[in-house]
Amino acid sequence: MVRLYSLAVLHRNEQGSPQLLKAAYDLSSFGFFQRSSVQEFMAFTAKILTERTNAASRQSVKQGEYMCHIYVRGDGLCCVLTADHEYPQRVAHTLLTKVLDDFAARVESSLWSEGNAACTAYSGLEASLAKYQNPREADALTKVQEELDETKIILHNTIEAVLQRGEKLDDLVSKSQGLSDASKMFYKTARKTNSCCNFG
Amino acid sequence: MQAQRDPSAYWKMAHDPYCLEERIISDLEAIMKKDPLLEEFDVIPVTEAKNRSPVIHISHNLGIEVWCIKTVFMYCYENSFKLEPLWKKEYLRLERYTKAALLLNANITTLWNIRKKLIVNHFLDIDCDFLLTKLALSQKPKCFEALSHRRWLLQQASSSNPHWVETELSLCDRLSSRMKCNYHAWSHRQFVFSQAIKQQGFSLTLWASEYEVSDVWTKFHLSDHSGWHYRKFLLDQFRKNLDYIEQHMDVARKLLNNIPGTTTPTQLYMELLNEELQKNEDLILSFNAHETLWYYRRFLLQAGTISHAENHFLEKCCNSHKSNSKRAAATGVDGVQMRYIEHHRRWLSDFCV
Repeated sequence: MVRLYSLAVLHRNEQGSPQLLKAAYDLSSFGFFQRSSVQEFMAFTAKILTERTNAASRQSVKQGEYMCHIYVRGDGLCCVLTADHEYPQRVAHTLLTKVLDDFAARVESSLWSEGNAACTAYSGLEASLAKYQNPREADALTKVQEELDETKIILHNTIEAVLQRGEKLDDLVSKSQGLSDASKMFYKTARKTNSCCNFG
Repeated sequence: MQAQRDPSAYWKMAHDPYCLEERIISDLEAIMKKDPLLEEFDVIPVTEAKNRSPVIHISHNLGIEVWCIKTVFMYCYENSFKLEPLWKKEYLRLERYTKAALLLNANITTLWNIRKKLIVNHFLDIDCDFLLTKLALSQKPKCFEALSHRRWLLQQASSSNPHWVETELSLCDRLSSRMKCNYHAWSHRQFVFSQAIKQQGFSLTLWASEYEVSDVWTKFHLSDHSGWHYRKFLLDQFRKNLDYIEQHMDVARKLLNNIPGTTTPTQLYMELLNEELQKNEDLILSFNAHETLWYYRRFLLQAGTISHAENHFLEKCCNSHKSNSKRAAATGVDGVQMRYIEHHRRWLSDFCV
């Protein structure tokens, strides 16, 4: 499948704590009762990864059947894209650059640290998420952005690989305030059961 | 007969009509009866049991909290098997328990078979099972048992709902988008297509609309082998019905965007294959390392004729591979694509000899 699930813009202040500014989701392929939890988890993962990515660098992190692409700019503005494995990595990272350029052009940098409320006026994410569901849309874009090749993208096979020494994903989940009780429970059950049946 | 339908007689048979399990089953049953437009069923994880009904009904979606599943399922499961020998007398309760048990766990063929028996003997309305299988599949989109039961239902009463083809196709759409590489959903789609043809004869309109649907699907799901297989199935259907198409060439040309210069259906078929080859080439060149695309290509080549252009194509792949290699080195998929190219080259030389 070639698919995008979410696109989020975050800002990291000088202390390094991230704040979600704006996010767009496409959760139509999830079950009705799972959508709110899935959305919370995508926001949660975006924050975790933003905290653990160096300034001015790119990472791609595999987690199960999902792939999170993340780009943190030198000025602390950051974009996280959740896609599946088949979405081409290069296209994903070009898209991240484009989204952030667009965001920075539309929203003044003084507003970034103020967080969510100040940036709600920006509405470009939904459109980008819908448009780039087809990665070929981005082809023209990739050809212009050849310099991206030079940038090294760090690839991790699990979220655990991104975490610092001594940190555990389970602990982060249970401590998180952004996740509701239902979502934490959802996380626990999802770990225990493999929801798809045989003939994978 | 009348006496058994009397609710008081019905309740007397239950061990304890007010026990927790019975109440939960009644809640489930009431919602399914009240809302025939139910879309989804799911299990909701909660931390602890609260003092309220675990059954949740929001805008045509049915949910049940996880804590009660084990006891309710075991209760229904045991009762279903206990009542099975008495099915002629106890059909109402048997229906009730098998329904709840299957909703919670749809993988049990025996219980589906009990329901088949009830339907055959007119103890149970067939529409009830269309809803039940739909709900079971919304939770487990790959559940073979539910799909197989549904196919059986369609064979029993496909004519009762005049729009059954549309209903089934939209169900397949949902199942295949819910879970990737959903082999069972695409097999079901093949079954529906074949069944429609069997009943109404080959229809170019249906074929063309399915061809379009699978075109869009495969574009976005490159590695979904079942989706590509369905496309192969459609092309095969076209080839098998060339006689029919010959009599309707005007319609065929119109539906397929009026491919110029085709006068015979065979030409039209070859033209379709060429179109597909072109699209396939595009996909292989722009997306690295999807083996399914190569398999589909081999089918196309075998169905049509292999020309020398194929060697040019391989050269093109190698060249684009070289120009990409710097970029792809970071992603690690590079070697894989090269392996597919090599594999294809070997296949080509074997096949041409």
